[in-house]
Amino acid sequence: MSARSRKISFVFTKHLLNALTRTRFGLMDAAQKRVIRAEELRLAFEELGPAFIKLGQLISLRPDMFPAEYVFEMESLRDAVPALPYKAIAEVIEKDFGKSPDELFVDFEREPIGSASIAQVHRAKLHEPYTTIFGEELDAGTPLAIKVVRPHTKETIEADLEIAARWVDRLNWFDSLRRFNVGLIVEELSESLQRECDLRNEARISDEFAFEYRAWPRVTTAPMIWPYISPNVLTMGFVEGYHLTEAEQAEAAGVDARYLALHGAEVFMRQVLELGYFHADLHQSNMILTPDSRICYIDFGILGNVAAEHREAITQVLVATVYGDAKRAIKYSAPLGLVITPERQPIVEQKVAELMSRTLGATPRDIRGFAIGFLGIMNDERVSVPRGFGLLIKALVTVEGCAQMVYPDIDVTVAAKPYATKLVARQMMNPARLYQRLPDALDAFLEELVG
Amino acid sequence: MALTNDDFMKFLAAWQLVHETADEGLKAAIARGEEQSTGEMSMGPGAFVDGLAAQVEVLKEELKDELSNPEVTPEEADQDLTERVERLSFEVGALRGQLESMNATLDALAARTL
Repeated sequence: MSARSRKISFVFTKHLLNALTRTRFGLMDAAQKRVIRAEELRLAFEELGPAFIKLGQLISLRPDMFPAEYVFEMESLRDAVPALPYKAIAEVIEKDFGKSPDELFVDFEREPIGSASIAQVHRAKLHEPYTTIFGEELDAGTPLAIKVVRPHTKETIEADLEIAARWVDRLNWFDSLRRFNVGLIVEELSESLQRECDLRNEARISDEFAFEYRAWPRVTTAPMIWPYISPNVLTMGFVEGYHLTEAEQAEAAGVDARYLALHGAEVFMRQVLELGYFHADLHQSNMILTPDSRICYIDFGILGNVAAEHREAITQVLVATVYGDAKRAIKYSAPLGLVITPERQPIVEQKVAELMSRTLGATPRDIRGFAIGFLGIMNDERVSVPRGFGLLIKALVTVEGCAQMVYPDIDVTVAAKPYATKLVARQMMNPARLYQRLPDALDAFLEELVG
Repeated sequence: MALTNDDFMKFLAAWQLVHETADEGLKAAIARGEEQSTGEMSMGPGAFVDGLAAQVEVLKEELKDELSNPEVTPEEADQDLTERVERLSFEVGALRGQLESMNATLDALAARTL
């Protein structure tokens, strides 16, 4: 057994014992046990570093596979690691561009402004004027943020993944763990890391997002400086502004933070229901409130997708959720792959209706409570939740969390209501849809006529 | 037996002849159908085919009109065009960005090999 394997075994055993003690050797009720175990697992992941932090982040994106307590606990994984010295970062830049940071940029700061498991970010200034792909002219001296992949990150993670694969085989001995399909998660982790370690993907998505929101004056992204973008380096304009936790300061500076918090919900709705992809890694550091009252989205590492054929059903589910209509929510969940047997349908509907009245009927509405409860009902009923559906629920909770971080009393469903309703109306009046429904309507009409 | 060039040309000629004959037949059926008076279409299979051909011809002409003059307001046409131009400009811009990035990588590689 290698030293790394021994460390992994030691850390997991330590936290398993902690969990046992904290749950009074399993005597607590199931929900409390899940909360404590999830917390200990998160602490173990943080202790074990990048690959496990990414694994935890992936678990946080799979409410279709893991209990809600684990999913939401993994959101608070702290992905902060000690910064690497400037020399190591300079070597990465030099390898990709053939020049040192000081030759490429002006005032490249030696100390990073952020350091995470995969990359760290340094500030600098633009050496010469640059016109972005949208025609925006940036002067020499424009402040920049330069994200650099930490050297050997990929190799370290791959080595950990190999160990993880061996652990997966062992975990599969346990029936209770086999149903989580940890093997699939490790495979996904590998794919996700391939994408995330090539920063050009992130730059492309950011530009695509900027294009799709060109008509939305309150939405913006950081400009991409393509001549200084490579698989390991992402150079973008530095966005001045406030994080969501600094809403008070933002308001004092004249930023319309409350409007932006609600507008964020609408932006999210559009991503899911119209564009078909959404920023699946929204958290307080990935949104900046700018001094000219706009929301700037950054860090497009993880994206969620919604298939075109599912958008209408998702709209219907969202509208039903917003209006507290359990029957409608269940009905339109079926085309999304949420299969409930006809005999269990009335019971599930009743449970969901009760949950809706308890969480969404309260003031302020508790979307997070609804999401955890809903996934819990599906788990109890042994109904498998499709991936896109789970991701959507989680993203909605995140949007609410972000908005409520700015204003705890905010109700994102208020922002969602008119938008979702308008979208449903538009879908209903779509000629293609009417044409598709015409034969059924004619049949029904003839049946009425003939008898 | 090997197929010669002449055989192939004969086959094409036969194919064209079949089409021409069918086309002439259809034109004649349309003409007969147009001359039919009300109720005449039900007077046997031949009359039915002629009447049907005439009706299809009317629909075909309507479709041709629709396709040549789509009912799109000038504003809608402008908006559609603007959107297409914007999308195209974006794609060209995105391509430019990727070329700039590749160019930088090539420069770095060249500097390393020279």
